[in-house]
Amino acid sequence: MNRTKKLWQRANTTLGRSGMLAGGFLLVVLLAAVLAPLVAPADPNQSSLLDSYAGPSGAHLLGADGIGRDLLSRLIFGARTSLLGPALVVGVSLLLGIPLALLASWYGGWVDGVIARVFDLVYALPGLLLAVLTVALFGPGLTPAVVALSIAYIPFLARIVRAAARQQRVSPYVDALAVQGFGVLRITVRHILRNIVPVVVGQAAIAFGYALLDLASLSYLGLAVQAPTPDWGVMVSDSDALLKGYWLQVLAPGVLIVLTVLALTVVGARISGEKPPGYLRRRRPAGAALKDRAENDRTPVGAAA
Amino acid sequence: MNAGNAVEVRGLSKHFKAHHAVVDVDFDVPAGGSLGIVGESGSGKTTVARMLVGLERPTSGTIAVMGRDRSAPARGARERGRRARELQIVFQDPYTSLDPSQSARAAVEEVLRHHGRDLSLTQQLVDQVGLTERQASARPRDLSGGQRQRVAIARALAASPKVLILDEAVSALDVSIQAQVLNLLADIRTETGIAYLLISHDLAVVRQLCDTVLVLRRGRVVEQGDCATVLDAPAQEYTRALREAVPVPGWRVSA
Repeated sequence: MNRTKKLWQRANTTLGRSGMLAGGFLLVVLLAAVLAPLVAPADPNQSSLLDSYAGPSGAHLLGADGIGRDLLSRLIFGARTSLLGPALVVGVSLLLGIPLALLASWYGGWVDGVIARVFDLVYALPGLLLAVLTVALFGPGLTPAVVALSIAYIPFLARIVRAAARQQRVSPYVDALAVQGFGVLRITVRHILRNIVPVVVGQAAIAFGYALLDLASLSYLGLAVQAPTPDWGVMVSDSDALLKGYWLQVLAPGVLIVLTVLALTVVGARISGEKPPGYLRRRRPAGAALKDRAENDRTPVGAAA
Repeated sequence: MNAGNAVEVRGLSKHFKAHHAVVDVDFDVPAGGSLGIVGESGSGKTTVARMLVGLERPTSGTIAVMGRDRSAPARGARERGRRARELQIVFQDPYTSLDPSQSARAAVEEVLRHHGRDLSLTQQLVDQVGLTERQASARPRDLSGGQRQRVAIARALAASPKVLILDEAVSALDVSIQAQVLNLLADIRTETGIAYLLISHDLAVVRQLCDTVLVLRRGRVVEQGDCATVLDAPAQEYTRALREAVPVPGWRVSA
């Protein structure tokens, strides 16, 4: 119980009010995706032409689409592909980007120069363009889109990791570990990487949001997730519904994409240590600033020295 | 190599492009002895230390510690470990020389494990440097400068080195804490028979801890010899100037 309380307090301190709110929203989306078969009111692919473009009702809480499929169920199941794709993009980018970034930061010199220029080169290529080219070569589908975006996202993540690792690399504690006889792998993974985890996690959360948006755009263009698989991007691309005036079918997945990306960006920024903007900060009583200052004067453990 | 010397340095030079940081330096540190290297900022003291521990590669000259040459970089984990058990270093800045995510105990245990030493020595080392149980479990950010420097000393001693380089190890500490750490270092030397190579710009610190002293200026040795002789009756003008630069009661800045 005490441990849970501590964990909650730590999360609260790290994320702040806006971060906790965003984290809560993400947790709900994640749970909905994982428990989709249990929480979805209907089969997302079950069509019923009698319910075509039905408005919100007891049977369909958010209404039904052009062929009578339950919109809420499609949104819940759509969270699965909509979250899986970006997770794969970020995972693969980190898997390839982190070792390259650590290598560059450790050796510096020409190794760093070559890796940094390659990152710059890939960074200059628009991710969506790369994905469109890949899809043109290998055909539409989630896999080619994820592969292309993973490559495009490597420099986005690795450049930040490289900069943070470079800062650690020049710290005397790294020299002390080298003098102790520890190898490069151990120092970089066990020490440097561990100290830059908040930066990596924060940047990964932000990248996740962007990847979600990119994959949704590709699905909208019909290049990534293919119908009838439920996906937020595919749902937004249902222009027929929009033209016929059934805006909720486009608005609901659109709002979910925006909110999820926003929540991920907020959580990512808080984990990286970025302070929330002034208008989001808690209004505090006048005495709180004084109390804060007193707490910040860190008292060392035990007597001085 | 004299069997009685822990460190032997001959003709050591380090050039950073056109800048000659260290030029033709020779010195010995006897086993169990202590040598102080003094000089103004930029005189090459730290570069000598970094070459000794292998963080910089000498341009020319030889370095031998416990009779084994270490002028070239260590090849392989075994050689790295062996060199670590011969010579260790305590850096100047206690605020950045410890891994911020590691407690003192974890740092010492990691080194003990790496060198195949008994983990039960952790408590002994923690006690030896005078850290309490709570301080040993704390992360560096929760410790004061003096406490952190004690952790750095314990971590260096965990490898059981024969020689310890103290690179301005007390410069970042206030005077009372400096005295505590210097006493601690003197006690450790008496207990373990470890040799010290103390790098400092503070002549009083060198006088307290060292048997012999070497004066560096612009990377070259100006004077070396017995600590009391060199510091009390310097033969060279530069050493005299260095001594006179120490503020004493009634000291005035000359126009």
